[in-house]
Amino acid sequence: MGPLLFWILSAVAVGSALATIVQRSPLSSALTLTLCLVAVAGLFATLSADFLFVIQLLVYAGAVMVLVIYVIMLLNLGDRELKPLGLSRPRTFVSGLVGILLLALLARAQAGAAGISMGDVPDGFGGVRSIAGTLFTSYLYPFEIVSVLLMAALVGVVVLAMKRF
Amino acid sequence: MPAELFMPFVMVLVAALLPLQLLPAMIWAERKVSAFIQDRTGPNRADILGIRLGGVIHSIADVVKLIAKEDMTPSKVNSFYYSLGPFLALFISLIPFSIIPLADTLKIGGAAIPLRAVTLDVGILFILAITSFHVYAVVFAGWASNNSFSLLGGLRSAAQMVSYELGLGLSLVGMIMVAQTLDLNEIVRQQGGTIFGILPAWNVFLQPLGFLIFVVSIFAETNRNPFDLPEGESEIIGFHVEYSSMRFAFFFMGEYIAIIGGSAVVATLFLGGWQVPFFDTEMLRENAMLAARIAFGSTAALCVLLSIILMAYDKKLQALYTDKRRFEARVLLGIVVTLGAGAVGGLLFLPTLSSLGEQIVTAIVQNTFLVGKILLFCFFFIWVRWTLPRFRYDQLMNLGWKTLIPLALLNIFLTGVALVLFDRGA
Amino acid sequence: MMIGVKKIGKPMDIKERSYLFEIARGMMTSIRHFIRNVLNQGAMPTLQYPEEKRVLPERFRGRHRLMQREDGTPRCVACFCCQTACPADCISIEATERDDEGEKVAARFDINILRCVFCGLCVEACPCDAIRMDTGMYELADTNRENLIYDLNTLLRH
Repeated sequence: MGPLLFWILSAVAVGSALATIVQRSPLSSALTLTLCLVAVAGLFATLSADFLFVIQLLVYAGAVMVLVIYVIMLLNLGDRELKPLGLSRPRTFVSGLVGILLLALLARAQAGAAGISMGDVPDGFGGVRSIAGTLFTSYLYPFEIVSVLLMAALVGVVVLAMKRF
Repeated sequence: MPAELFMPFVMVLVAALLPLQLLPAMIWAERKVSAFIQDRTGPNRADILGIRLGGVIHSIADVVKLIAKEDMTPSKVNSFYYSLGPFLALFISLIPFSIIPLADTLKIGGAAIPLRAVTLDVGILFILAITSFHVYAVVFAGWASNNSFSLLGGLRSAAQMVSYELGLGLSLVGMIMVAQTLDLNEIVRQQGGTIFGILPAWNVFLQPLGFLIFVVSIFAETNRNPFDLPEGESEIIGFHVEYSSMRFAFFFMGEYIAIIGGSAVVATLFLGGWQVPFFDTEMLRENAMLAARIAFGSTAALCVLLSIILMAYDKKLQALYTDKRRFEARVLLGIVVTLGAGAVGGLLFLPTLSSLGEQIVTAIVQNTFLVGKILLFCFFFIWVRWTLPRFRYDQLMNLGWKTLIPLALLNIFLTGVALVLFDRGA
Repeated sequence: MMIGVKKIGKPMDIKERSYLFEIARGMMTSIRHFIRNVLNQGAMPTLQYPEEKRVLPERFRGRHRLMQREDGTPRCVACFCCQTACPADCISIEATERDDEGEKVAARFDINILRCVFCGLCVEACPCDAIRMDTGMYELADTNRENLIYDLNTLLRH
């Protein structure tokens, strides 16, 4: 069952990611991107990373993409505003370069992972308890710094959105 | 172990069928309760061969009506997105049931079989994640209708749902701090036993403030009465104005299933889930024979009570009607008497239960209590709807952001203080 | 704030602003009605209409009827008073001469019940007590418009 699920979810993820970049309508792109995120969440679930699975659904698919779709709908681009899909020369060059770099990175990761045994994960792996334990002991400072950053962003939004100071 | 292989499929089926079967009952209850609250009799006319069941048949008539109506698609509408909204509304509202534990875990031959479709140790977060997906249905329905009013309605409802999601999540934090787990079955199991020997140790008594905030937020999330702005078609237009026929019915069903789902979540998190008050799983399993006897006995008693009511009803029907409707009470009486006889037979010829039988009886009793709690809370939903007036949109936003979220934060603070004082943390 | 809110009356105090107590009071009211109606459904004012019917008051104005003399001829003398009085213009009369005494008599007497507003002014206007509205008939629906224009015979037969 595991390999079958993996292939199905990966096919959906790759297919929807491709659809995201080749489609012209921004809403369709956003929708396929959501599908891609959900499929990736499914992959997390098959890797028994339950917490990551739920957080992926909650934060990316449930919150970020909703905002993106919200904005797209409010802009409501018609056919006229949309430029036809076409690749200018510099853009082709840059995206090709980035693609090759990404592939190289993946190949390297794959080569590095060859020696690691893919045995059973320990009990409670990927659950809230283990992640929270790691987050609040080994990575406490990065965690706090990130939360301060988020707080600053929040305050910034409030300041920008306020009419009177 | 074959049981382990096929049980998930069975449980998925059960989890999908439970809300779908409660749905017509819920719609019937909505009409009948609203009628009784307003001193009316409610629906009682539609019949099949004279059987009316006090208006339940109207739910079937509804289905026929909704299927037979013209399914309009406005012009210049992308019909894929237009259909996606109602589809998502129904589909997403069904998902939370997969994670509600229907009874305590069965133990068959050393293997534990959880009585829920998906075993996930981050159950609460999963429910919150799925709740946030409801926004898609609303936004797509509003946008795809190609109508500025429904677009505004969709944005309004989406903003409402996003705002109240915060209160929903924050109100649970205090409960999670007490429970120290996100696993729903574990949370339910912790709600066994009593506080001070009199109250069942349900989270509603441990976290009254959290419960209140959660219930208000659930009302807002399901677009239910005090917050049902899309329903107010005469003063403010909702996201589903353009929909008709079955596609509207999908929204309708999605709303009711979301209500049943919300009730199930509230029952699980705050009202003890499948816990029978004062009886934990072990005690039930030891006394499974007694429990089965009580179940059969109470069914028989209920049948006797129903027969008395039906006999009185029969007299009224005979006086009132001349056509086939006057035999309704007699047909029902026959069914009730058969049921009662079955219950008495079960009571008399109850075999001694094996260990598995004891567990199954326990699971049935626990599940009955869970469904009872869900139904009670559904009744509460209906009761509120026919009592309270609707909020204005700015009042709704004020309540969500300026009252519920600070209160939820206060609840977290108070819970933390209490945990430190009574040393249940650490 | 986007929406201008006009404050009316005295501001709510903290108890009212929390909504909770008022909500609880409202909920108690509605559940009281619910329980009362579940326990005693017969006490509800609703009538099961086609089977149960309301007892009409004595002076209820139903469908018209035309009165007869002792010999069975219509009392109507075709004076047109009712037709003149009718605000809805639903009565139309054609007069003709009576054979024996030279008195007038209605050759046709049609009441278009679709127009009738059941005001009873025709009954008030009639000098011979020939038209009355005391039949108590109010279930006048039909599937055909022609059937709802009652002629002399129908009205006499009531």
